Amino acid sequence: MFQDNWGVDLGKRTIEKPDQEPKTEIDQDDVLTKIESALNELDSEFQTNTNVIGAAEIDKKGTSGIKKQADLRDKIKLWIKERFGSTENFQKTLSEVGEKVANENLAGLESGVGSEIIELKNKITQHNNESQIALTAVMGLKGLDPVKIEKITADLQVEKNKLEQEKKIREQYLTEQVTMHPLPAKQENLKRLFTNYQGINEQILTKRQELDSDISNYETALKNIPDDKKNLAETKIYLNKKLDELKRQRIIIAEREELVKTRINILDQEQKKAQSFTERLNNLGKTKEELQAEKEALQAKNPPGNPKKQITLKRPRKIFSLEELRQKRTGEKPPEVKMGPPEVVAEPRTPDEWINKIIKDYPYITTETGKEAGLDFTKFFQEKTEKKQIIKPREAEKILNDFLKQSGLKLRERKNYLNKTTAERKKSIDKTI
Amino acid sequence: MSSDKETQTLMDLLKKAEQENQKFINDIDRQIDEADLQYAQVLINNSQNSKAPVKK
Repeated sequence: MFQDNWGVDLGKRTIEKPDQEPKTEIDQDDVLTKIESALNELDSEFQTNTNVIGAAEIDKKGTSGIKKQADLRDKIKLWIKERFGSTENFQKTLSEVGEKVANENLAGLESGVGSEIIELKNKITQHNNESQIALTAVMGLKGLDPVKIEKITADLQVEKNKLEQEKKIREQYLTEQVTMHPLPAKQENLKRLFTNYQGINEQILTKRQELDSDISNYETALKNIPDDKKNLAETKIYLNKKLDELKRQRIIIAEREELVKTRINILDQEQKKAQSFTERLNNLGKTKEELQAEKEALQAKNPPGNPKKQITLKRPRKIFSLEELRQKRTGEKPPEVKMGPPEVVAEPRTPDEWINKIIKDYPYITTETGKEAGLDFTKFFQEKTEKKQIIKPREAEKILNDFLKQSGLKLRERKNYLNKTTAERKKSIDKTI
Repeated sequence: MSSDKETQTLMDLLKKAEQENQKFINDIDRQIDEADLQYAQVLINNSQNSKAPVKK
């Protein structure tokens, strides 16, 4: 059935603007039958291919199963485009069809069972009022046979029961109709779809904002690369090309955003219509007085107020450095920045202060290695300082170097040793020992 | 960073961003298709199920 219109590769998605009117006048029933048939076919394809949609399966089996499914989708999309001009137009047309049918349905219920129930309710009210008046009048009559009064009362009750029974039957029928009615399910589905499209929209928004910021940062980074080499011009051309590609992708993403927004707007309208239809469905068989009472009860529960407008503050765009961008992209954490005032470490000045610091910084060499060589670091240092009160860092370094030399460490070992961190030094000493 | 390193980093970032964006676009297209088909189904079901009731 669809074969005539199929077999054309849709290629990349573009915004489906209804640039042309549908080619032929649409036969509503024919359209619905064909679409349903195509969707049924799609359903069976889904069932066949459900298990191959997982990423692992795609890797394992290739894309053949998925491709088959995708082809069918593309064919349906093409068919929709050919018959309706665009997906949006298809959705609008189908929505109008649905609205028309739902309207006819509700009008039927309103003029049928709904109005019958209202009529019966009114009759019962009228009957109650008239019965009350009649009974009051009868009671006022002197000398009336109590049996006759009883009969009149019983007759009035029979009449009332008859009306009540009739009303009950109609109400049961209405309940069946409302229970079976597709509107509540449709409303639920619309809500689900709305949330679904909104989720997609949020993803697009986040991505677009991220891309805007990235492109701006990349542009700055590119401008900042100095032209200090001959081959850099070529590289810059390449980088600009890549940047242009990102801008092209940004346009595609913006198109998708537009496309999803259109869907959201259609769905929003659909939801409003469905809500109004559901209200009509819920109001079937209710009298004016009952509706008014419900309205008042609702107003008492939710008094109308002036909801405050939500103000969304726009966050200023942060300009990232190239290194920050790299860290952001790779998920690497930036080096921890300590907050608060910088730690002030007093520089040792006296020989004792220097001895304490060096022993703390180089515990192994000053104790273990020195001991092995028969040297006492404290004594050694004191002797070298020759009773000086103040020792400069350079002098302290020289004394330590002499100590290491006398402990038997070679020049390279000494250099390596002094360059290593405490943990590395410990490891190195452990290894040597 | 030296200019060579900067250029290389920028090149890597642009390549990676391009790949990620393409992946994102494909994924979004798939999600839109999926949602469109579901929507079509809802519209069709609704149009076909909401026939006018038989007057009893």
